[in-house]
Formats: sequence, C-alpha cells, structure tokens
Amino acid sequence: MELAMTPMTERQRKYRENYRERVAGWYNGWLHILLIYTIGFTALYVYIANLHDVRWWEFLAIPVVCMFANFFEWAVHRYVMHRPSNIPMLRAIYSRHTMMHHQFFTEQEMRFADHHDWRVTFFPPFALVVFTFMSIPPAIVAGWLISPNVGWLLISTTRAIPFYWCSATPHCGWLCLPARLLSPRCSCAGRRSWSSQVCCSCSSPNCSRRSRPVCGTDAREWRLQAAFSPPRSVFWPGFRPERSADRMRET
Amino acid sequence: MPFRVKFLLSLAWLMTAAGGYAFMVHLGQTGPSYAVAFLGVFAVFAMWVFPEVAKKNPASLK
Repeated sequence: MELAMTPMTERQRKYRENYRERVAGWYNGWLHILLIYTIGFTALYVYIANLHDVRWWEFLAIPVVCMFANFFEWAVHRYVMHRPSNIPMLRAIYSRHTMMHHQFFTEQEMRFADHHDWRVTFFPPFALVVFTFMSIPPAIVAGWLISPNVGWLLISTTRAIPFYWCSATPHCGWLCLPARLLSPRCSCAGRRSWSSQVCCSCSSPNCSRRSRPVCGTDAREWRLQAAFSPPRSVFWPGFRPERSADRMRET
Repeated sequence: MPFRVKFLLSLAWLMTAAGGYAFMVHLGQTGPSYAVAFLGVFAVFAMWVFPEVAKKNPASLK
C-alpha cells in the first residue's frame, strides 16, 4: 500500500511503511472521520442551539477568534510542536507532530496512499476533548464579560477551526498568515509545501528568518524549528536582517 | 496515551458533560441537554476504542 508514482526518498518510504505497521490493523480512516465528526457536529449543535437573537456586532467574535486562533496555532507550532521539551506531555506532542507527521509527509511527498494514512493527520478523539477543555474557560469569560452569544460563538468558532485546518485543507496557507504578518519582508513564493509556506526555505537574503543550524540538530529538524522562529526584528527593533545576512556570509 | 492520562481525561470529560447537562436542563434546553449527555458518553467511548500507534514495530518485537 504505497503510491505508485512518487518522488519520495527511501527514508520517507521506510518511515511510512514502519508507521503503518505500528497502527492497529483494524484502523479505518472512514470510521475515524465518523467518530470525530460525530463529536464535532454534536458539540456544534449544542453551541448553536444556545444562540438567541444575535446582534450584528456579536458576529464579530468569529473573525476575531479566527485571528487569535491563527496566532495560537502558530505559537503552538513554534514553541511546542517543533521544539522538544523535557515536559512529558509537551514532548509527546512534539513527537507526534514533528517526528511522526513531518516524517510521514515531507515536501517531496505529501499525499495519502489511502484512508489508513489519515491516522497520522486527523485529530484523534482525545484531541477534540482537550480542545473543548481549552475553549470552555475563554468562552465562559467572554459570555460573562460581553454577552452569552459571544461566548457561544467563541466556542463554536474554536470547534469549527480544527475541522477547517485538519479536514478541509491540511497544511493550508492560513498557517502562514502570522508568519507573513510578522515577517513581511520574507518572500514565501514557492511550491505549496509545508516548508515553503512557513518561509523556512525562503532564499531571499532579506529574510529575517535565516539563521544557521543549531549544533546537534539535523538539517531537517533545524529547518522545521527555524520555520517557527519569530523574526528577530519583532523583538529587537534595531535588528537589520541585511547586516545579519552579510555577517552570515562573512563567517 | 498512557492509561492513567486517558482515565483522568475521561473522568474530567464525564464530569464536565454532567455539568453541561445540568446547565442545559437549567436553561430549559431539552435537545441540547440530550446532546451533551450523548457527547459525554460517546467521546469517552471514542477515546478508548481509538487505536494507538505502537512505539515499536510489532514485527521487530518478535
């Protein structure tokens, strides 16, 4: 069970084969979808059923939450998913995302062979439970401080976003939005792949994301980490990426 | 996911669902209250039946 025509490397091919053998044999991607969509749509029904007489400004919660969720997603990738941690829970997230997901899918080959490969992309049911736990406190606060409708819209939006990110358009360009906002000089033109979308393979000398690999990390891991490094100019107003690039060339 | 973590997560989820059910009943929302009760049980069921990815290749353990 592998793609017939594929440019993937031997390493990726072996990893995909090994991963498939580690997944329980009865796993079915369609059943996976059924489980998570049942949870998701039931929750959405509960949230939406509680909306009453929504005023126009209350709908503004949706784009605002989408924007915050984008930055949250970016930060989670930057500080948790692409950075090994000593905290077991964070390490497990890193392991599942960087060590599994990004070895299974690379910029050479991002396609599924069949529905059994969905195990490595779609959220497992426990993730939806965790996301709901994470969404409840801000929804309660927004419901008290602003209006109940805003609270319900907030939690509805946070529930709907994972569907969009991980179901409709995996590795979509939305993830690049915070990176583009923080690093407008970085030109990310290139193939629609994970690395090019998040600017890590940017070849522009003006890109403030360029830096040298850290000792002890292989090139691929460094590139994934570098992809989520905030540009230094954000935290260091006097930073000039051009000078940094010159310095890099000198050394 | 370790058994202990999954067990605690399930417990917390069931308690949250019970609270949500009581809240929906308090609001007079009949349909959503049943939905919350269903969600509480179904999500726990889904978490426990969902296959984990083994750390080692089963073939290599033989």
